[in-house]
Parts: sequence; C-alpha cells; structure tokens
Amino acid sequence: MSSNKIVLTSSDGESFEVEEVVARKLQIVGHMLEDDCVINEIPLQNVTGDILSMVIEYCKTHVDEEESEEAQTKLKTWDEEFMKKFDIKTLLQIILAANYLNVKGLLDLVSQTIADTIKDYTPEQIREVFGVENDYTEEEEAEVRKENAWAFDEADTPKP
Amino acid sequence: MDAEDRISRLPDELIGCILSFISTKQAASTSVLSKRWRNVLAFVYNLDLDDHEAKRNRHGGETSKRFTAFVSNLLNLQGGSCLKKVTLKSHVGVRGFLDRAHVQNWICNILDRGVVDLDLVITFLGKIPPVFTLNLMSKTLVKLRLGSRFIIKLCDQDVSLPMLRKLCLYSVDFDGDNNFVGTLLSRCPLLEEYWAYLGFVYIDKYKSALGRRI
Repeated sequence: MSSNKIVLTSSDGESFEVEEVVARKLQIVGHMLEDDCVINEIPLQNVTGDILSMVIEYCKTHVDEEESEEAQTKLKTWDEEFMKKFDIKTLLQIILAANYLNVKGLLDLVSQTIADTIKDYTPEQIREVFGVENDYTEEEEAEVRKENAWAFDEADTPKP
Repeated sequence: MDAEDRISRLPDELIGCILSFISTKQAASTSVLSKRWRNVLAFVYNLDLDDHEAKRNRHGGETSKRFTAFVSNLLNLQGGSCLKKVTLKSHVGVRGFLDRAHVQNWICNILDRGVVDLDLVITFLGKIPPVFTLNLMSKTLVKLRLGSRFIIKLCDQDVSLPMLRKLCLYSVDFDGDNNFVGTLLSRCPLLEEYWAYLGFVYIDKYKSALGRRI
C-alpha cells in the first residue's frame, strides 16, 4: 500500500491531505492519476469543502473492503449511522458529489437513503416534503394517471 | 420542506438511480408529481414488475390489462438502456390473464439489455405450459432464477453465461436437448450456487399434447 499523500482542493478553496489509496476511491482522481502519475494536488471544481469532507470520511472508512461477513456487517452499520447524520438537503448535495467524483458505493448508499425517505410517501406528500410544484393542469394529471394506471391501483398504494 | 425543490433539479440519471431503490410501482407513481417527473422512469435500472394482484383481485382481467399496458409502455420508454436487477412475476393463461406473446417480448427485451440479476416467475394458469424462447448468451448475468411451470426453448441452441454465479430453476422444463441441464451447467464456469426442481406436477397431462419424451 502506497503512503503517498494527495491534496484535494474543493471549489471554495478548502484543502484536504489524504493518502493516495483513499483519493483513488474517488474514481475521478483515480483516472487523473493514471493519466499523469506525478500530480499531488487536485482541484475539484464542483464540490464544496463541507461536502468533500463527508465524501472523504466515507472513502477512508471504505478503503479496505474486506470480504468477510463480519467486516461487511460492520461497514453496513457504519453506513447506516453515517447517513443518519444528514438532512435531505445535504443528502441531495452528497448524491451530486458522489456522482461527480464517481464514488459508486456512496452513490448507491445515498440513493438508497433518499429512496427510503420517499418510499413511505404518497405523491402529494413527496410534493410537500421536497417542495415539488405541481405544474400539470387537471386534465394533464388525469392523463398521466391513466397512462400509469397500474401504478395507481389501490391495493398497493402506500398507507399515509 | 425544501423550498427550492432540489430533488427535481437533479440530473435524470440520478433521479433514475434513486427510483431504482423503490418498487417500480411506486417509482411510476412519481410521474404525477410534475412535468419534470413525467418520464423519469426511463432512467430506472432496477425493475420489479409483479402482477400478483391480478390473481387475488376479482377484477383480475382489468388489472392484467393495466399491467400489460404499463410494462409495454415502460420498456418502450426505456429503449435499450442498461438494466441491473429485474424481477418479472406474471400470470400467463386463459381468459383475461397475460398474453404469452407479450411476456415473450418483455423477456427478450430484458435479456438484451445487460441485466445482471434476473428473477423470472411465470405462474401459468391453464393446462398446457407455455414455451418461452430465451437467449441465454449473456456476459452480464450473475444471478438467474427461472420458475415456475413453463418450458424453455433456446434462441439459437447455444448457451454462454460466463459471469453466472447463482442459478435457480424451479419447475421449468426444456424443449429439445435431453441433457440440457448438463449442457447449461457446463457453460457457467463461475457457478457457485445451483438449485433446481425440474419438471412439472402435471407431466402426464401435457406430455401427449407436446408429443415428445420428457
């Protein structure tokens, strides 16, 4: 394992010195290192320092992905606790960062967490919680409901 | 409440990613949120399509019709985008239940799109089990479960599942080659788990109808 250090700089100028193995968990960095192995400072334009620090925390924890069941269970518990720290606004920033930095595990984890929030809501509740404005006319909405009639069959709609 | 509606401003593929972690039925219900959400289902890569209600519902025929229309539209909307995990549970049979030809088209579509984990459960309601043609030449399939009570026919009589690790065959039979299972297993070099219950309960009833040796 290399102990080479890499400095990652956020869009708002915050710098983080991390081990190369951690930095490589961000695939965007991994690709840059493959192209030119002498870089030791990498500017990341689309992510702010507060979000980048969370992504780095995730990558540090996941740096050795052991296959043993015990290690997997431990990581899963850590993931759940980690996600509990964030409100929905932050989760939506993390999902964008995970996508931009290309951290597959984190992208799935955040998607799952946001999905878990959505899954207990009716469409009306989702609109309210996420501030989605309904811009359909009554006729248009009826049309969409008709097109997806199976999805609105009563037997399976979530209980409020 | 998020006054800025950040979720609607996510790129299509990220909304698709989020909706891939809830049931397809619920994912589809987000289409009414706003115009932005009308076609986001196109970007969902895990599908769980289950018409189990058709059977227990008195209006089964109506539910089956809605299910058929929904799945056909969905697969059409998605084009050839990659799929990851797909569960398709449907009732094929007589009077009002799903039409075999529709299900056959869906299966071809799904197998062509790089699916990794496929769970195909066709509950057959009738006397002669339907035959489905499967193209089992896939470089992506890792998990495959096929059931229950249908006959598998191969597209071009060839099988290659180089990534397959788990295989479960439940109450299915094969058309043609008598040693099909042996051939199948020999084409799955990475197979770790294999579980099978072959044949049908009503073998005698359909044996004569198909006019071949079981």
